[in-house]
Amino acid sequence: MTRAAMGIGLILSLALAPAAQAAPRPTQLSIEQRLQRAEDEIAIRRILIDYHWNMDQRDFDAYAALFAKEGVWTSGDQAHKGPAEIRKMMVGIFGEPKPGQPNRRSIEITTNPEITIDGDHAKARSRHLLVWRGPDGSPQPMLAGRYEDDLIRENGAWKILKRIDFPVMPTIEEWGSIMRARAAAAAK
Amino acid sequence: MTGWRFIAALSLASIAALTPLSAPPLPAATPKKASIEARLQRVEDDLAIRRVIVDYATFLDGRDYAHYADLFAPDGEWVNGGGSHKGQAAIRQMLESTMGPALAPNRANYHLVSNPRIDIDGDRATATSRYLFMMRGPDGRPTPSLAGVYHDELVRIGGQWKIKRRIADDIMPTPDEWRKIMAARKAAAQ
Repeated sequence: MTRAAMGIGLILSLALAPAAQAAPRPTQLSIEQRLQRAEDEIAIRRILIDYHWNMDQRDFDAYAALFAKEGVWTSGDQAHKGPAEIRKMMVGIFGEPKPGQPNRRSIEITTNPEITIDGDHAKARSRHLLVWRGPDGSPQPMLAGRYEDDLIRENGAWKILKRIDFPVMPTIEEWGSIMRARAAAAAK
Repeated sequence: MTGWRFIAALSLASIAALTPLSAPPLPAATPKKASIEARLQRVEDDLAIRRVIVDYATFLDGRDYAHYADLFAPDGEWVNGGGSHKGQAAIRQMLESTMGPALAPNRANYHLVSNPRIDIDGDRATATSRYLFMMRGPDGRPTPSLAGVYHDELVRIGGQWKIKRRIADDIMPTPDEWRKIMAARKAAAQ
């Protein structure tokens, strides 16, 4: 190899080196940073699960507390910002929770977590299957959907900064008519 | 079939009384002052308990009664609306007497388990998870047949996490509805 070619090679490798280092691989992190990542992943999985646990328990305070101060829940053209507004949305859907009357009419199955952590920010995708009591009491899948979340670490705890709720089947319009029919049947 | 579900039912109220619903959850965030090793232990414990929750369904659906019973502590207890079975031998007997020969191929039903919520406190832990029990429908299609929540207390024994107590809370259908559905299926099959 000529001296000139070696020089070009050196320049190229210097130019490429920073790019290669831009995204640190886990092995370049300290043991503590790698551990923190694992802890963060577990903490965020727990938020995804607690979201439906609190919903199914009709514990709207705990549900709203999963969101950051500026946290947003959004679906279609609806958006609610901040834990107080998000709690209000839940009361609007389900009514004020009645202590001693646990919800046994629906159960959410939460799956497919995909979590990407970047320091104090994270993104998550997940899926859910809403199951209702059918006419004979059997579990009946009613709604399949997915979520896209932005999360932040707020005062040391992971919170949802934005959750986008995407119903997949039925569509939002179809779901609206199912819910209206259900409300009309309950009112009779 | 799952005859143990037919055992005379306790009321749902008694299940609710047994269920530690009101216990405040432990803080999810790991205390920062814990040592690296203690924090790593917690992550490992979380993974190990997730495995217990999934193995339970694997051994149940695989009719592997020995391994199923071994998931429990020696004085471990399995509880549902129909009653309770305490100790590994009694738990194994519960399955043997109602679910047919051990290790028999089972393609009639299976359990999907999901939603693990695990709180660890040293050598003890609590967990909830969910199950959706699927059965072969009349045309062979998987049919969601029973949905519920497991409430677990776990304990570390000899370095292994074991179930101290599992409450299977069948949410839908209710035990009465389940009996009717199974009776109708049996009648239709004859």
